[in-house]
Amino acid sequence: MSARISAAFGVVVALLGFVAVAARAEVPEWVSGKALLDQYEAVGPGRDARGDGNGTLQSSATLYGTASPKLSETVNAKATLRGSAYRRSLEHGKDFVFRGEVQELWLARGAGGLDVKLGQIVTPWGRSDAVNPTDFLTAKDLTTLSTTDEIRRRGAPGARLVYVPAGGTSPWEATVAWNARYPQTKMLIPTSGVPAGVVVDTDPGTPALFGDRQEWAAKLAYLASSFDVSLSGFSGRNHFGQFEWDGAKVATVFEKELAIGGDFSITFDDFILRGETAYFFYDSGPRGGSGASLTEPNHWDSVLGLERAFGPRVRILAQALYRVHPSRRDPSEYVGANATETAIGRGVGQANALIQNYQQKSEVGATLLATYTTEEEGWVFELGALGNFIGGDFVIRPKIRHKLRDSLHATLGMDYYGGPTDKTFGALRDYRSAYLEAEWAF
Amino acid sequence: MARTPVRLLPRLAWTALGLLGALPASALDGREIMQKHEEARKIVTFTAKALLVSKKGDGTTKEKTFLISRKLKADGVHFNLLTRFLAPAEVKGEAILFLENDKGENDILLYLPAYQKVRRVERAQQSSSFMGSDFSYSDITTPHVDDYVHALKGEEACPAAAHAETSPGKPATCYKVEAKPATDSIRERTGYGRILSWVRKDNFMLVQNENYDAGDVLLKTSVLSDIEKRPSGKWFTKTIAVTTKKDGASTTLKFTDVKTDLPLEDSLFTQSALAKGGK
Repeated sequence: MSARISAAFGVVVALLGFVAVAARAEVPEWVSGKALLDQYEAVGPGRDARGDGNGTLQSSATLYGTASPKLSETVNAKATLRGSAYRRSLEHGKDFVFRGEVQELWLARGAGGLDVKLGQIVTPWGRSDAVNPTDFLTAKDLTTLSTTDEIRRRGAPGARLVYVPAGGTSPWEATVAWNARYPQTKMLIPTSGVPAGVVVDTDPGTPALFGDRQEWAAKLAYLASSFDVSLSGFSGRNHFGQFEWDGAKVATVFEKELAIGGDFSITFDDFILRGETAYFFYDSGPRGGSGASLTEPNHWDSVLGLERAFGPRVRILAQALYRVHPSRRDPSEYVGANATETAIGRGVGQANALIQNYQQKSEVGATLLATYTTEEEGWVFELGALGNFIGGDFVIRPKIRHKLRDSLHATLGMDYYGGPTDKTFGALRDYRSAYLEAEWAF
Repeated sequence: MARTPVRLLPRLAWTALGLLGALPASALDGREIMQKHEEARKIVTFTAKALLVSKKGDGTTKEKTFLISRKLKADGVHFNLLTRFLAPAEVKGEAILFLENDKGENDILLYLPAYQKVRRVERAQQSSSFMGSDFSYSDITTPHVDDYVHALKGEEACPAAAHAETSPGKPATCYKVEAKPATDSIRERTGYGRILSWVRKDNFMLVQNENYDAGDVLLKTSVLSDIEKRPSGKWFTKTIAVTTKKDGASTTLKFTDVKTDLPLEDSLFTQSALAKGGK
């Protein structure tokens, strides 16, 4: 624990160094970052349930900095550090905590179309917006509330090898990725979804390097000027933890998986069409944990989106989502060795189905992102929404971003989870929030 | 009935030939003038630091700086162009790759460092503002002769702003050329119904443009200055000032630290390189 605090302190000190550099008259081209102040207040029934004085979900200050020096014509490096001080947080409640994280720390060499990168790396794959089935290699910290998605990313130690034929000029691109250990997504778990008596650790620790914690992925892409398409494959872990009953306790497991996928994007006339799809095969078999979908069964995820601008100010992106678990069984069909085991197994399975969104065999959903931007981006009005048509659950995210001056913005917004409380987003209604965030970029 | 005496015909013919000889410039039509212009500025590669200063009607100014690299493609006509932003902080690291194609259908790709992803800019949006300035994305790319139908509208003293470029106090002569988009696709991409250009007679470089929309309403005026001859004999325009008619806003794009005809790898202008953040 003390080692973790020391590491966090080290990251914060390093970030203060970034700020010191940033405060100079001219920030070096290779240094950039953000300082964020935020306040997230629970609204609706979640606030009442939290009781007196506990309505603040998060109140924090974050420094986020990147240094990416070019060391020579062929060698470059990148370090991205994040340090946060929480007065209130989802993970630690009213405890004042520091948290530091090294998101990326790598060294790369590139020449003649071949690039090799070694270290802690973030590799976000996928062309869709918000929902990326082929994002096999990264994880996120969903317990940190933020409008800045980049600060929630979690990297993994490993290597990347990218080869572009013809000295880097070919439209073909081949990528091989290796993670020495899988990254873990820190989940936002609805309190109502957790089986009675189970204490959930949203930060289950850092697995050891190598062994069966390693991950491999490969991608072959064709990147033409007017369209691009790729195929990818992955052998590793599901980065979303799931509950599993081991006979003595409920633990969080990150199941082994194989996946194949692909994506594309193309522009035509006024539109950009994007698509992304992946099929996931789990170690637990086509029916998932215990043959009764106590953990997520094999499934297929797809996204198809269309984006267009209406004049210089309005932009709309709509995406259709489809996910199917062909061999899913309802966890209530599970029968254990005795009544107790049956009850626990069913509870765990239902919790997983709720959190991982596999309560139905087929799920159809949609996302919408509409933005209106005033001149010079002085004001940006944004409405984001994601919903499941079958369950009727949804999240709506309106926000207003105002440029106070160059590089200084304030954002006022809301995360509104709705729908039946026994469905994925409806169950998160305790996390409904209104927030104010200030951001200074350097 | 009056008749032209047969003996006068040879004199008229000689007079006509003499007039043609006395107007060598008029021997060039609008397309030929713009071909010479395109040749005059056809620098194979260049890199520079660019300062984009936008001034709004209320007097407020915004500055953006970026690095720019451009290379002539193997077809000898079109260019690939890469811009990578240095300031202000909110756009630092963003990069835009312009890939010119034939038929005027350019592709534009945008790299967003916050997401570490490349996004496409749809063609209809290419007439929209380039990074909040009075330039559009299509203004940043290079217009090509085959993309337009040209007509010579005469010769006249170059616009006042161009005088300093030649001999101060002695106005240079310019060709006045009208260009209309050759296809609907180009009209849609640029947002212009016609462009009126003033081209210097002495070096065939552009000194002023007036851009009109499809309804023939003047949208913006561009003045090009600091035109400099490079060692290769080609010409480079270091300052472009654009004024938008509607709101009086203006943007000046100024290039410094200009290097021309240096070796630039083709691999720099690929989506793959763009996604690596130029590293």
